[in-house]
Amino acid sequence: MVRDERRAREDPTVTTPLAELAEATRVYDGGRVVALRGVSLRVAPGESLAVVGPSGSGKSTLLHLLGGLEAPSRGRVLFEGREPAGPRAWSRLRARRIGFVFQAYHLLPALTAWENVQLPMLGVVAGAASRAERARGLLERLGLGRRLHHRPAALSGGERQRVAIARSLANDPDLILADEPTGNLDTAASVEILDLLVALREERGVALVLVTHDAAAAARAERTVRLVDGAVAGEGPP
Amino acid sequence: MNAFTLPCADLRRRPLRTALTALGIAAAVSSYLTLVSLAQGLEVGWIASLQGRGVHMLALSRDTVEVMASSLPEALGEEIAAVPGVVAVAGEMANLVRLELPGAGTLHVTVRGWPPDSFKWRALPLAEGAPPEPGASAAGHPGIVLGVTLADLLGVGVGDPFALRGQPFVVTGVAAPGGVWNDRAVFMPLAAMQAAFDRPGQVTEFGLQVARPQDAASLADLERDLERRFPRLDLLASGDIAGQNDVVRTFRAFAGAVSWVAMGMALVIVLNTLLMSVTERTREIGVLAAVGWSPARILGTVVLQGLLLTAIGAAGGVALGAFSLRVVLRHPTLGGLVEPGLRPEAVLETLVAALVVGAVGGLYPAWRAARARPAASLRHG
Repeated sequence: MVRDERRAREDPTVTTPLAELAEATRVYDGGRVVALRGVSLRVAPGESLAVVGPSGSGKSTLLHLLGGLEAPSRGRVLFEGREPAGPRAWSRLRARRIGFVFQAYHLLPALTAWENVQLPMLGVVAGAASRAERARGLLERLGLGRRLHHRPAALSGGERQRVAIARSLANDPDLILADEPTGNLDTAASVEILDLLVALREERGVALVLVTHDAAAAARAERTVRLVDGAVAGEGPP
Repeated sequence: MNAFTLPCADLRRRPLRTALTALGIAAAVSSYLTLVSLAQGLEVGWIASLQGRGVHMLALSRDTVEVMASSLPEALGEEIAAVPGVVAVAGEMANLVRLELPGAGTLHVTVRGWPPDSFKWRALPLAEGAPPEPGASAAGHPGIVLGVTLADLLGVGVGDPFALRGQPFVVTGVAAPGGVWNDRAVFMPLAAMQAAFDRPGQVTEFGLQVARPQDAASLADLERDLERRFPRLDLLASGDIAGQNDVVRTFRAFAGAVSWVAMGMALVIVLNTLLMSVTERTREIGVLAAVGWSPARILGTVVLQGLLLTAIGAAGGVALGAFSLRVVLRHPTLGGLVEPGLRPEAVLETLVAALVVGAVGGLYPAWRAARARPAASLRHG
């Protein structure tokens, strides 16, 4: 690992990974449940990576570690080659550099679509008018220009997920971590959301880590990592 | 969208819970405001009663807890009057008596006895009639002056008979000196009062007029000089007497204790509501962490929600408190002792206390929300 970092510094053709797990292990319940065991994984800037595997294989835990939502029990999580120093540093990264998309959308029901998209901008983008304008632009780009003032309960599943994607893009991140983004959607909506994610990745040059157990979804990524029982069982093109 | 959007949206999401919580806070704030206003009104009423009689400084028997229990020889007044800086001295006997109001229960009124040559008679503005002459009136009974409110309550006027402690008097005048104490008082010649209360040759206090009443340093010097000359006296500037009186202090302490119990209840209400809110929004708090909200921002938004809730309750509480105060002061006993009206300082003190309660009540739920682990929160429910 140290050798790799040194090589990256000495050889300009080796790019520093945007995000990286280094021998990361995550256990729960005092070690009785092992969600991830010694996983090493690198996400390059702008790449798209699918993480596949059966239920309970540790895919969501891997995503949470990459986004700093939880800390590894052993091993390290790096962002641009450095280990963020604690929860505050991770909060700053999630606010400015990392966007999350969840299977269950996780939109705040009391807020409108427009307000949900502005949520990550508080404290990051100065000025209420700037935040409002930026959120409007994102929602219009995602085809929700006429749904700004609707609350999540008044939107379809596909629309909710588009709002969630707009929210993940609110602060123009470098990395989007999508946890089963099509898991709650019908086939047509799934295709629509995947098309959108792929298009946005190409359009904005953002790296995308897509956790899925859907082979068709995984096929849209440049690279696939297969997890089984918390360990990497294979890696390669889809 | 701004920092208020989410706390406001959460309050709107549970309108019944928000309304009931605000109502609970309003009840506590109203109790606090009523008690604080009663304590202040008692103090203000007392000070106004002194100032209405033209008194700059009071001389009482030393270490007396209650002014009306003070007892001094009337003759001491001449010695006090001889001290440089003292312009005039008026002995006074004061007492609190109970009068029966026909069909309206009992009324507590102060009775004050002054010598015929006292400056207090000159300072007493009469609405009608005249001060009583020394000795008996034409009707054969001693004369008295009634405060205008008392005269109205009793339905008596100049020339009417009046009974006090079973003894007959005649009303010779109606005075409007201002202040709830004075407007409900009975004023009579000192000799008549000494006879009526079986305390011949005694006064409860001396009221002093001094050469430079506005000069605090001069007042303090005179106070020290008088205390040195008359070691058995306590001297009090009229602005201090209410604050230094043990009865007022006791009432103030009692009102303070009860009002803080009320605020303690408000704190528990805020705490309970916000804890419920934070618990049921565990996953949403995880979402806030996932989109990059720092623990400090999450803490701030919950505290802000508590403050908003308290502000709504406090606004209602001030209105309710103003109404309660009016109702409470309709009671004949309290109405005679407490200067009515909602004072800005009482409202300000209440609002500050309420907001402190809101912030403190919100801190623990906010801390719980801020320290929650994001991934565990997202898996919640």
